[in-house]
Amino acid sequence: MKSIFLLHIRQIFRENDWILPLLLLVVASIVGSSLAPSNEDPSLRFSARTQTIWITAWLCSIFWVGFVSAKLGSSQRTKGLRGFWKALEISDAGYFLSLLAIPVICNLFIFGLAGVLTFFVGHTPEVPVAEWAYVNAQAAFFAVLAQTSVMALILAVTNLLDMAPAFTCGLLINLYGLYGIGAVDQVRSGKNPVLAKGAELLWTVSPHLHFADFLPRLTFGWGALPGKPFLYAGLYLAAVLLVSIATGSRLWRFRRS
Amino acid sequence: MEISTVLHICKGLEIGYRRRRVAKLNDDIHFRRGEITLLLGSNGQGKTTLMKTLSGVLPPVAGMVKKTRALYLSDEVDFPESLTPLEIVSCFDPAGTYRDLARELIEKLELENKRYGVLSKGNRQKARILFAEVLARVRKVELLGLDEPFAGLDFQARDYLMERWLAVKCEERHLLVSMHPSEIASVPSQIVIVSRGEITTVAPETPWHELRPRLQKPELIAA
Repeated sequence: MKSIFLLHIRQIFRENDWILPLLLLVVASIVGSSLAPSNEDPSLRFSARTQTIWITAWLCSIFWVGFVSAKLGSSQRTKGLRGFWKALEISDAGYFLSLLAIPVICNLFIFGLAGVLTFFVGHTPEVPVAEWAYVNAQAAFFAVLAQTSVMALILAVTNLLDMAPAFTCGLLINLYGLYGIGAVDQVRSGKNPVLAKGAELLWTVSPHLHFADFLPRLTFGWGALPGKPFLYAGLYLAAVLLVSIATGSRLWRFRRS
Repeated sequence: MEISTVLHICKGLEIGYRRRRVAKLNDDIHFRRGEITLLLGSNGQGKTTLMKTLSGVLPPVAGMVKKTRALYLSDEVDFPESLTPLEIVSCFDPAGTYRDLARELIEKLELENKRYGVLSKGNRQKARILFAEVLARVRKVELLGLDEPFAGLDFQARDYLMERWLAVKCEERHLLVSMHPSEIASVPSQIVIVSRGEITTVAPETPWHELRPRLQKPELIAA
């Protein structure tokens, strides 16, 4: 399992694709302030930088890490590596987790870097430094948890589908989990009782990835999420991740042809 | 089972896929440590299916194959194109226990340590054999299956590998190779033929002119 992980993590970093998110995040931290009307309120430049950096980080995760996961998964099949590792008695679950560790590292890199950059260039003087560091750490932690769930599914789906459909699945799950649930929520509180009931059920079983979106909290200086809500939201995202890993491991079973 | 036996498969074993039986075993076969089995058969007769079944990649259609620590290397396997053979070896052997062996194989096989993606067909095959040799030792593989390992290799590399494989009798593994008999310079420990839906063993000293008719496809014989 260690060999699988080492082989592919080395491959990802050798291919130098990671330079793109790095550059985008650095550029976002530089040009972010110019997107705010700082003539009216100079303090807005901090929140504009924060917003630009975190939006860039999410886009990099959804597109770059999503692409990395889809490519990694589909290459196992197309390069005949499934049978190669299977003969060496490497379990499907162990194989899956070895590969999943790679998107986790990519997400840690992206959101960790976003947190560090925001800490330095997005810090509003009114917010205490410790509080600012804490909220950025919370944002990075939740983002990694949420995105790992999606990457696990992308990786697993490549066992059944090609790279492009697997990537698209991940993109759709992200869009739904981050924004689509808002629409379901509206239907849930609508006047049609049948639709509301259906929406209620859908809302309950849907992955609420928007819990991991700290953008308003960071941009508007709401501060860190208090202990209990942080714990509950963390447990919820961890549960989504567990379901996603369990589903992914099941989908990743070796297919004999 | 004898101590020296890595794998013993019994008469009646059937190999194939869920809806297609490919071949049936007519003799008991023992794969012993330090020995080489030559696997012969025309294209599409089931050599690869047999190798996959023995290494646990495919389940048998009927009968049983004991789980063995195996490594099955087909020519369809490819490795990350951005890494060099030595870098790939260091991923398989992070402790560096077999680094000297890897360097020796690279030198003797005249394998260029360039990115895997830019290697020629023959050099890729050399690299695959290098990875199999290192990984087999790291994972303490008991059954090493090589499917057409000499395809695309120059004669120097063939000679070197053959000499090496014949010299390593003390090793803890059994080597199962599918190749043309003319490619093997010495007599193998046993010969297994997969032909016309049957898997049989023949004496290792059997000359090629006697083996040849047994390998022909039924339609060719009828013609």
